[in-house]
Amino acid sequence: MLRYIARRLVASLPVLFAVSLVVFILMQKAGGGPLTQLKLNPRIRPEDIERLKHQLGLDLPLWVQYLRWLKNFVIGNWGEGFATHQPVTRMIAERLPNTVTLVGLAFLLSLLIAVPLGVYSAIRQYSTFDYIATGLSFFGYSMPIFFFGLLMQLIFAYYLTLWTGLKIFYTTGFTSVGGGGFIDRVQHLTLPVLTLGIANIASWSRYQRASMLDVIHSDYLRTARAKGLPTRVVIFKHALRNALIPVVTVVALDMSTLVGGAVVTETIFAIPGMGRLIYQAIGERDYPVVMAGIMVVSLAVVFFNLVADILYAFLDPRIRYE
Amino acid sequence: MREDWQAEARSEEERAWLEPTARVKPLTQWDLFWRRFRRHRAALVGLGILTAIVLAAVLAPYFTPDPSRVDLGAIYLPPSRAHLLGTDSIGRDYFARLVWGGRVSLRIGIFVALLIAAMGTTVGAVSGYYGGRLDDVLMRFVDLMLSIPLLPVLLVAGAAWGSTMVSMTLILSFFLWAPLARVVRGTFLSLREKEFVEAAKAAGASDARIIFRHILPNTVGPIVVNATLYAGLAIILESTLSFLGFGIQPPTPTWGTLLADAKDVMFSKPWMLYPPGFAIVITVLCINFVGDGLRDALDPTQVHLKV
Repeated sequence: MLRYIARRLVASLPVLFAVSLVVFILMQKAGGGPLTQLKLNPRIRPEDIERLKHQLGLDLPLWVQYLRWLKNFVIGNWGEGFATHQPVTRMIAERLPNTVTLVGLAFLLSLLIAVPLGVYSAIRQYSTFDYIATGLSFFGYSMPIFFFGLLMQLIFAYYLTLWTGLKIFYTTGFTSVGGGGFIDRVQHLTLPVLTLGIANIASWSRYQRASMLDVIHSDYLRTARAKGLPTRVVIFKHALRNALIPVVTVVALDMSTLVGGAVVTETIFAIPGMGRLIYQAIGERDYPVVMAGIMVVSLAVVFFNLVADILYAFLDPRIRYE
Repeated sequence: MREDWQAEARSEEERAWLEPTARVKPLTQWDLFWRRFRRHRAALVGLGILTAIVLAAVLAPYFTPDPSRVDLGAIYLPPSRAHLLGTDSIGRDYFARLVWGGRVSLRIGIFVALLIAAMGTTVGAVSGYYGGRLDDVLMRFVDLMLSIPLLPVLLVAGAAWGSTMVSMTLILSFFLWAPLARVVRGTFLSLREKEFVEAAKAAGASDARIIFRHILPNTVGPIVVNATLYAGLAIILESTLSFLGFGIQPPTPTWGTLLADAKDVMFSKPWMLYPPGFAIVITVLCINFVGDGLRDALDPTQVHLKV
C-alpha cells in the first residue's frame, strides 16, 4: 500500500507541472501585469519602468521566467505579491484556514443531507418523496452557484430582514469586524456554506440513490430479507454499508468541485479565503499570488484524488492495489 | 396481360393475406428512439421549453428592440408595455438584453457540445480501438486533464482569452472534452472484442471501416447524452466566468454579464436579478431533462455530472 501511495504521488507530479505551465503561459497572455499602471503614470520615467522590469525579471525570455519560478517554488521561495508586497506564503497562510473551514463545513453539510436523502429515495423508489427529491436535485445541479448565492442573500438577508425586522444572517465576511463569538460565526457562515453545498447535495444524493438501488436489487440482500432479518438491519447493516462505497469515491473526487466552488462563494460573500485571493489576484494580474494559489488548490485536488483511490481499496476488499 | 391473369388467379384468402403486410410501415431506428424518448415526460416538456427559448433567441432581431441602444433619459424603468422587463442602468431595454444574452449563451452551449463530441470521440475512438502504447499516452493525458482544478484554471484562461464568444467556446471545449473521451474509449474497448467486429475483420474490412461503420454507430448514445449534459455545464461555466468579469466582456449582453450588473443593485432593485438568473436555471434544467430522456432512450449507463 505504501508503495502504491508513493507511486501515485510521483505520478501526480506531471499534473502539477502541467497545471503550473498552463497557468503561467495563460497569465502571460492575459497581459496587463504590475507595470501597466505605472506606464500610464506620466510622472514615472520609462527608464524607471525598464529598471523595475529588470528587477522583477520580467524582461527575461518566457521559459527562463518559468524555470526561475519553478525553481523558487520547489525550494519554497514563493515570492511577494505585486500588489501588496507581502510574502505570498503569508498571504496564503492567513487565508487558508477560512477556506478550509468553509469547504469543510460545506462538505459535512452536503454529506449529512445527501446520504439520508439518497437512501430514503432509494428505499421508497417512485414514491412522492422520491419524485420531489429527484426534481429538486435536477434543480440543484442546473443552478449556477453564484446565482444561488445571490438568491440566498436576497431571501435570507434582505427579505427576511425587511419582513421580520430581524437581522439573522450576514452576507459579507467571515466574522463581524473585530471578531465575534460562535453565534456570530454561525450568522456569517450559514448562507455561504449552504450555497457551496447545494450542488453537491444534488449530485451526491442522486449517486447515493443509484448505488443504494443497485444494492437493494442484489442477491445477498434478498437473502438477508429471506432469512427474516428486520428491515432496519437489512437496510443499515447490509445495504447502506455497501452502497456507501461508490459514494465515498465520488465524494472524494468532488472535493475539487468544492474547492472550485469556493472561489465563487468566497467572492460573492466577501470571505477572505484562498478562492477570493485567487480571484482578486487574477484581476490584478498578480502572477506570484495566482501561481502559488492555484498550485495549492491543485495540490489539494491531487491529494483528494489519491484519498479517493485509497479509500476505495480500503472499503472494498475486492480491490487491491499492487 | 400476364400480370392481370396472375392477379385474377389469386384466391380470395391469398389476397387478404397479402394486403395488410403491404400496408404496415416498418419502424425505423428513429421511430424506436422517439417512442422511448416520448415516455420521459420531463424530457418532453424540457424539449418544448428549450425549443421556445431557442426560437426566441434565433428570432430576437425581429421582435426585440435594439439591446444596445442607450437612453439616459430612461434608466431603471419598471416593466411596461414599451419595455417588457424595464430598462437597465443606462436605459437599455432589459428584455432585449435578456433575449440577446440567450443568443450568446445558447450558441456557446451548442458549439461546446459539438466540439467536445468531436474531440472526445476522436481521442476516445483512437485510444480504445488501437489500445497499447498509444492508449497509455492518450489516457495519461486525459487523466491529467481530469485532475486540473477546473474553475480556477478556467478563470485564468478566461482572463487571458475568454473575452469573445469564439474564444470562450474554444476554452470551455478544451477543458471539458476529457470525460467524454474516457466514456467513448470504454465503449470502444468493449465493442472491439465483440463478434460483429471480428466478423467484419474476417470479411476484410479496414480499420477505418470498422471504426466508422461498425463501432461508432453503437457509441452514438453515450456521445449524444454526454455532449448534451456538457452543453448545460458549458452554459453555467460561461455565465460564471462572465459574471466574475473573466469571460465575455460588456457591452455584449450575456446572462452572466447581466447578472453582474444586476448584482450591483440587487438590494435596491432585486427584480433585475431574476430574469437572467432564471433564464440560466430554466435553460440548463431543460437541457438536463432532455439529456436524461436521451439517456433513457439511447444509453442505460449512468453519467456522473461534475460542475
